[in-house]
Amino acid sequence: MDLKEKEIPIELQDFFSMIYTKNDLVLFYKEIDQVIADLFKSTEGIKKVLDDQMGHEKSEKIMAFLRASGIDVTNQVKIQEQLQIIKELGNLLPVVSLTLAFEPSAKSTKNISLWFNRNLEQKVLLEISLERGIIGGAHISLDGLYHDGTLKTGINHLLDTKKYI
Amino acid sequence: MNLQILLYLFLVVILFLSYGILYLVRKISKQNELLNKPQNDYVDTLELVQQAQKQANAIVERAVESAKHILFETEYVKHDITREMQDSLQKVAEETIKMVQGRSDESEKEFRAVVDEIKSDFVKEATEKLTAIEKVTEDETNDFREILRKETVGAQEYIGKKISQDFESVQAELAEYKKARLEEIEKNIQGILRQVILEAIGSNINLQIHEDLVLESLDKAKKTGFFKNLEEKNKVAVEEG
Repeated sequence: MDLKEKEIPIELQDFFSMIYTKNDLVLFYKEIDQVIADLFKSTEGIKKVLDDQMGHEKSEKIMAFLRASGIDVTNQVKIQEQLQIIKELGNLLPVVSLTLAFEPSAKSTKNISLWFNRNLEQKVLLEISLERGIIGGAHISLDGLYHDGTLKTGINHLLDTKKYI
Repeated sequence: MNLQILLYLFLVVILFLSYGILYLVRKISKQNELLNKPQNDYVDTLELVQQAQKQANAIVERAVESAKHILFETEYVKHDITREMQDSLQKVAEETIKMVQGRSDESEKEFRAVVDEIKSDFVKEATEKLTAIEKVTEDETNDFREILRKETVGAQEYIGKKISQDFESVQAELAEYKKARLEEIEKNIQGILRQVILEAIGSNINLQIHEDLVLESLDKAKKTGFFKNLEEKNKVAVEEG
């Protein structure tokens, strides 16, 4: 299905607010796949299946999406199609690669992700890799562009200018 | 003179005797040849031969007697002559000795004079030559000494100059080496120091500071316009929405 951004019935930033990293998205997709699989097995309805697989918050968001889409929530086929659309919507999110000197906690990951929401009003997915040699800060990569914001580079720059030695 | 005559006579006799003996020998040999012929043919001849033999023997005896007599005479004369000759020779020897002695004394004196003269000439000449050689040697020695002194001084100056140049060159090389080594050491120290600083800082950063550093780097990236495309994309979406 060829999806255009203007036809998206939901605010992506809001819908994917619980998804911070690319890994989170992959896990979310697996949950969706499991929901789809369970959908045809269960007779309890889509809400129950969503609650069982994803938890309340994500379940609510998906249900809101299904309702906003105007489909019959009892139609398993239609539900499946909409769930596939959700996956496609997730692929529309920009991915920012960050190389960090530490393994961020869930809270740090959320705070970093929310920085993009606050400062760029844009929902992004973070792809985090670890490299302790950079000492601190981050090496940022987006759409083939790179920005060196590492502490190591900053310290070396200071040392090169011999201001501190 | 008498001696000579007697000697000649003796020689003549000897010759005569020799001739006679030869004659007889030839005759005897002829007779012997004849004897080889058949004896019947030479019976008379044998008798003739025997007779000739007798004659020859008689002649030989007479010749021998004469020769003996002549020899005796000759021996006697010879003895006289010898004695006279010895006396004469003795006298001559004495005279000669005297003469030689006399001459020797004079000769010795002359010889000594000549030797002395030669000796003095030799000494004089030798002295002159030695003096000349000594002077030449001294001059050459002085020249050599002077040359050696000049060469030594020159060599010393050259060596001193060379040593000075080499010393300066080595000093310059040492200074360069020292400078390079110091630079290398400084570079190594800086590298080590840098590494120490980085590790020290890294080991003292807690999670909160790390998070703050990440957010700060995002702020700096935004200020440089790194997220310009994202902002524009979002702006378009909002306008279309």
